[in-house]
Amino acid sequence: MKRILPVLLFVSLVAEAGTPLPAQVVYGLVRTAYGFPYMDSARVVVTKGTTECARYDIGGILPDGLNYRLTLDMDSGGTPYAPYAVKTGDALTLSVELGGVASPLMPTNRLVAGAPGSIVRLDLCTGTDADRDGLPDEWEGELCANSNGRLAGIADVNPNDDFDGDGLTNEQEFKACTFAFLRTDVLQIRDFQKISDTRYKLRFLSSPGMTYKLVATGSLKSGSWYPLRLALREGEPVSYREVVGDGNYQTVIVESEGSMMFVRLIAQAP
Amino acid sequence: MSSCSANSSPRLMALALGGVLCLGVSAARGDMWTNAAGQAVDATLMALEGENAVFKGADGKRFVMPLASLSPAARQGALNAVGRIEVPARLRPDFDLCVNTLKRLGELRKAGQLGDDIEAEQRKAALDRLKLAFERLGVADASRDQLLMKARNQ
Repeated sequence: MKRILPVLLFVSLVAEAGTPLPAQVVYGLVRTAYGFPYMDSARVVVTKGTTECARYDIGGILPDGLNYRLTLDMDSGGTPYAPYAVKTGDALTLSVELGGVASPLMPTNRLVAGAPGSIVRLDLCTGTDADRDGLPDEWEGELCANSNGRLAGIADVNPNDDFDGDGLTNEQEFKACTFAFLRTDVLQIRDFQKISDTRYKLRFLSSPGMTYKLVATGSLKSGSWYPLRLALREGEPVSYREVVGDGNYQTVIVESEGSMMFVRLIAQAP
Repeated sequence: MSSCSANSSPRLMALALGGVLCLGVSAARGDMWTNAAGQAVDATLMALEGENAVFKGADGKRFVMPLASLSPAARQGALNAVGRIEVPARLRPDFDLCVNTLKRLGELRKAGQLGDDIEAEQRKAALDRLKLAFERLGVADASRDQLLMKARNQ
């Protein structure tokens, strides 16, 4: 009996200790309050209480227009196998730090740990949203400042309005990083020209950190768009790829896959 | 930023150079800047505007010098100065907004989608808002001019 008791106690302790499970991945795009994707200087952190569980230092734009990817080590329950491990249902806090200081975050700084092995997309913006319209107050303030007095305050900025009358709503302009106060600034393809039997050249004004895709269709009625193969220089082979903006006009060479082609430019914005 | 015109810079530079400074004398404030003829002046680089460098002399007056008139080392130093200034992390969103706005305005103007007058007006507004961000975020006075210079030249 004396020998059995320690063995039972040991088994009991082992049973309460958590074991590692497949990690949960949280990823997305973090933008500044003015809409520009962070490309450096920012750190995304997940904490449970005061314990840091994961962090990601933003260091550029990832494929598909993302800029952060966090891996949360998951635990089966009981006593965590590591202090940073989380278990399904744990209440976590997200923050984006600039120089070690956490910025306000929208739409939320709350995260509930999901199932082991799950993947969650969460796009964030380091701004405030006092009027709860989905647009950062700071961006709305910029629009007001450029409105020549037509917008008295952020309450006057409606995401579905088209302040400058260029055909894009304020929200679309925020997402595309174009000027919502300037009618001549709109996401558009310019200077579309044929350079060979199958190749065309086009230009568009990019925004820094924004990721762009080009898709095409042979018939606008079909509603079916396919990705275009493209190159950034004449003579280069075309491939399925994205274009990350640098704030300049981007020249893109596309290859047609039919006798008629309508091309659409997409700013990959959440 | 106010500055003397480029036309008046040779006279002002000559006056400055004709003062008391020469190479090898440590500057009480600012740096020693040497022109292609080997003459030196104690001044603080305030901005690069196109092909010109804007300085503030020891007497506090601003003057403009074509970059081409500086010695090769001074010209390189002026260009390097822009890259060396570190943007405080808390200022980064406002700084990037200003830089991206200036760049986009320039691209739109070059493409004929924006008139010179509107571009100038919007550029001024963007720089003014960066100055407001300096105030709001308590950016040190000493680095403000250099940050503005960096924003203009990125």
